[in-house]
Amino acid sequence: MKLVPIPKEKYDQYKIDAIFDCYKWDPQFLDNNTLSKYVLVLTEKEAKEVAKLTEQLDLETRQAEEYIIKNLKIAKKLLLPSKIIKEIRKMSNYNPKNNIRLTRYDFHPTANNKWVVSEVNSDVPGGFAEASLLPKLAIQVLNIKDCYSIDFGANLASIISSKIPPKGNIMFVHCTSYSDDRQVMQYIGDKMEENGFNSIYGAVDHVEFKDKKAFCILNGYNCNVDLIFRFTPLEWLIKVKPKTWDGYFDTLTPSCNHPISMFAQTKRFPLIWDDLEKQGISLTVWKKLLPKTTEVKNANGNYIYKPACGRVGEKISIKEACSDKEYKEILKDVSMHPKKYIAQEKFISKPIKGLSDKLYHVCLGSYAIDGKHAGFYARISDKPRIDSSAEDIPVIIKRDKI
Amino acid sequence: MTKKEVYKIWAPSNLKWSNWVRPVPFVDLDKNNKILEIVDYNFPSIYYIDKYLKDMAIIIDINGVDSIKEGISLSRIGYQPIPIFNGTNPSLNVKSNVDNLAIGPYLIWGATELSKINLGEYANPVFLLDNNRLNRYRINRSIFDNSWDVYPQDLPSSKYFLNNGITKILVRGNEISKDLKKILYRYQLDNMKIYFTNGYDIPREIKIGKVKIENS
Repeated sequence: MKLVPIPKEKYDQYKIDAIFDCYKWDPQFLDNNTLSKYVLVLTEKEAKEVAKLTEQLDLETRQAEEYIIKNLKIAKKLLLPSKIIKEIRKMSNYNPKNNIRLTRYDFHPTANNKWVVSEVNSDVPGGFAEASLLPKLAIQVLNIKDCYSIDFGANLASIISSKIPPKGNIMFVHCTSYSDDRQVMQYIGDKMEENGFNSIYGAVDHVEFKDKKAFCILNGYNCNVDLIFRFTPLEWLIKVKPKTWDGYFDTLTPSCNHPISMFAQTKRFPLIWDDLEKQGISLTVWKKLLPKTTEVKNANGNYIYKPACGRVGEKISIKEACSDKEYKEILKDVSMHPKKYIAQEKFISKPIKGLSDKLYHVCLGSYAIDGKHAGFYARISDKPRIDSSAEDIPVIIKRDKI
Repeated sequence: MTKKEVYKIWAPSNLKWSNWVRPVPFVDLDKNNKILEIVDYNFPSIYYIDKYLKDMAIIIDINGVDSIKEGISLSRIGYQPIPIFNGTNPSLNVKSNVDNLAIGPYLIWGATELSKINLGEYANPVFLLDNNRLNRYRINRSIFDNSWDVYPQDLPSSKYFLNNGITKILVRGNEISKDLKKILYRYQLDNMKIYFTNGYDIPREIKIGKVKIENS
């Protein structure tokens, strides 16, 4: 993989086009421009390798969660929130064929030239437009003929279209106060409208359930819901008052994602792998790619701490990527609440060179939808921790020479 | 003007603070431009400051429409207005608790006015907020909640301000909003001075009471 710079004289217009044509409504975070001045170019070999690993990981993830749902005792070590545990038994009617399972696996190139996967975004992965429209824009701006991109949005739209009736109502459930959530929903919502569906934007409590079927109570849109597309994380959903959200757990209305996603979302998921393998569930690829993960109390050696419910890289104790103050605060929190964290063996990310030999660390997100690889979403940072201040970068693939 | 053209005028790439202009209120300008029957495009007088101060940035936290108008007035004495409105719009015919569409025509008008003004590359920023963002109340659950908060990541850090010679922040509003307080407290911790005015009185230095903050 390599970084190709957007020509300096073209960047300003590229940014404007990314904002308005590619739903990049959040190009600034504190003092950081979050739209990279580079494009990440993968070789076809790299793209195929990561796609294959993604499908293998996703198969293991789905087999594990479908086993857990029928054998809930095994989930005890996940220490899921008590509100979720109360609802968990309702999920026994889960049917993978009726739902859409969307995941994104975070790949990192390492110093020993192997891939490491740091985690799976199992519950509400985002970055849809960045993984669909931005690479096309980049190819156009760079004016290169021997590269192509994977259109994640088209893949997602195709699966959605196959699971719900034509002209069906899709409820995009998100935190309506957050524009960065809305930009993700608006992209796929607009795409589904183009395909003849009805996109409705609302919050968790705009969905009610009757006879286990969802309907929308948003004023002006009282209607049946044919698909719940949820972007509100489960740990936020269960905090909504009054409690109108329990129906999400056993609804017969197709969901993307169904709350079954919580088993792999918690960073404690690897702590039950040995138990799952004893029951015949293979996690070979996961074990090969994820750094050794353990309870905080068992960490002995070169480990970092990650919050079990972390999402965007916050509170991860990579010393060289944190301020001294932040690092001390994380360690203090870990010592006070060790069960809220896991310890993961530290890996050495292999940075790649940009202009003037500046080094960037890469996190290559790789999507799977219902087990099939569906696209790439990447972020880069000059620090080894990829967090909210990292830059979004389009991923394109250079064709092999024939 | 297209939404891209309007945005480019508010956020010209040659000005230092343009990166903080939030695109959100601009994205619907082409399709959802609310037609207002009564539109008052007069420039408000600025009573609380009479000249450009090179060590001061301003945050205006009043009704969004008035915030834009005051921002344009301040641009005439050298400040760069930076809209940081971040509220989304509901689907057509859905009721919401904040009318974010109202500011659209004023952003277009503001662009016309700004295009007549030649701001210096280092013009200090005046950040524009809409205090209606905090209207949380929903008469019932069917209402679309598009209220919003301003967060530390929506504004420059104190380090960035200080590196650019800005040591004072003046807030013009009716009060210091709860969300803004969290941001100002961080600035204060880093030895920036915070001033407040209600729009009529001379700015006075204030102390922000202790606020629990998390790392961002």
